[in-house]
Amino acid sequence: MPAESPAKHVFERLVQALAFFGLTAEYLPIRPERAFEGLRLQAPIPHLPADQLEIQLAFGNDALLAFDPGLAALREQAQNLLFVAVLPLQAPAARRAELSGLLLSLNHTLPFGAFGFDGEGQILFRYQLLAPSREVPPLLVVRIIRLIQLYTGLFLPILRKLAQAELSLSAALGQAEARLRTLAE
Amino acid sequence: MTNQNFDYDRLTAVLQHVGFEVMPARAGGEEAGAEVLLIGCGRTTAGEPLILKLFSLADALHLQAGGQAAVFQLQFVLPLPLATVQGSRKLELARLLLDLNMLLPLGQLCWNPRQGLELRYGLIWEDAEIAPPLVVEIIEKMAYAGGRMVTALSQWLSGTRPAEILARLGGQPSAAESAAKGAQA
Repeated sequence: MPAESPAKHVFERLVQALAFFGLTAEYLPIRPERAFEGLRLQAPIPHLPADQLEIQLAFGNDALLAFDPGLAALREQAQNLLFVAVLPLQAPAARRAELSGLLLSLNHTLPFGAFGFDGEGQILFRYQLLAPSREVPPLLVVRIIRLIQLYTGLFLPILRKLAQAELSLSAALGQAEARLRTLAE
Repeated sequence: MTNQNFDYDRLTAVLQHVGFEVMPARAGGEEAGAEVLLIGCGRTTAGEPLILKLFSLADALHLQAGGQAAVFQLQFVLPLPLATVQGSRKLELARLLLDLNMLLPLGQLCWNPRQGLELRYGLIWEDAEIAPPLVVEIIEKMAYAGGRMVTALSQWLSGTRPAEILARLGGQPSAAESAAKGAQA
């Protein structure tokens, strides 16, 4: 387990930048139970004041090294800053097939990132920003977080209705398409 | 060809220098007249060519709010006969693609209604020029992942169960998912 912190200064700079834009983030240092550092923040979801998005950031190179120290060459490669947004929606097992159809369609349309499930059916949005170094521009990170909030606000209501069987898959696809059109306006 | 963030001619020279074949956009094809690079990335085990398309998503206007972001999309069309999959197999495929996405170190699989299955990555960046070596690294990672995904999905088409395919690919949680769980710990 790495003892040193390879990116604390990067994350602390991000905490400051996010605070400037009204987002409170928490630096997560390396701990015995967590072999790599990261950042966690709660972000509001546009048009859904009762809901929050939990977003975590970590460098994928560190995460993979924590699993397998034999991958030491990863240290020298481009840095993969992972954004994982946990949506406030657990997919019921009986509806995961339909939800998969909708998520796959959304993923085709969005310019970056992808919706998916974790092993327990929690719906996630994830993006990997490949950067030449760990010095990722803070404003770029803010922009990506803003876009994740935007996409979540657009599609979470439709995902919920589909999860609760209030919509068919074809009706959900139609509503999602209509919302996507608003992005281009 | 140039735009604010990207010098296609310089990238072409770098790609050719490291051994990639860069092809001109086809006259009359959907890429004609656009700033696009078509990059040969070898062949699948079945002998099908893997051609990566790189272009700027200039029409993603919602990305431009408040700054000068650019998104470069890198796309492979994966040569698999998936369009004929119907019924419950289609929903099983959607779920499998989302699960495979969680194992990918970069990019995501998505379904393009016109072209079929794609592996794609949207590189979002702003202000500074994107370094060609970074693009080369992205292409190498995508070419490797694309080959593995073609193999995995060919197995599914031959009747292998999704759980078995995921287990063969390691079954290790993706760095993103692990980062999320690590941050929650």
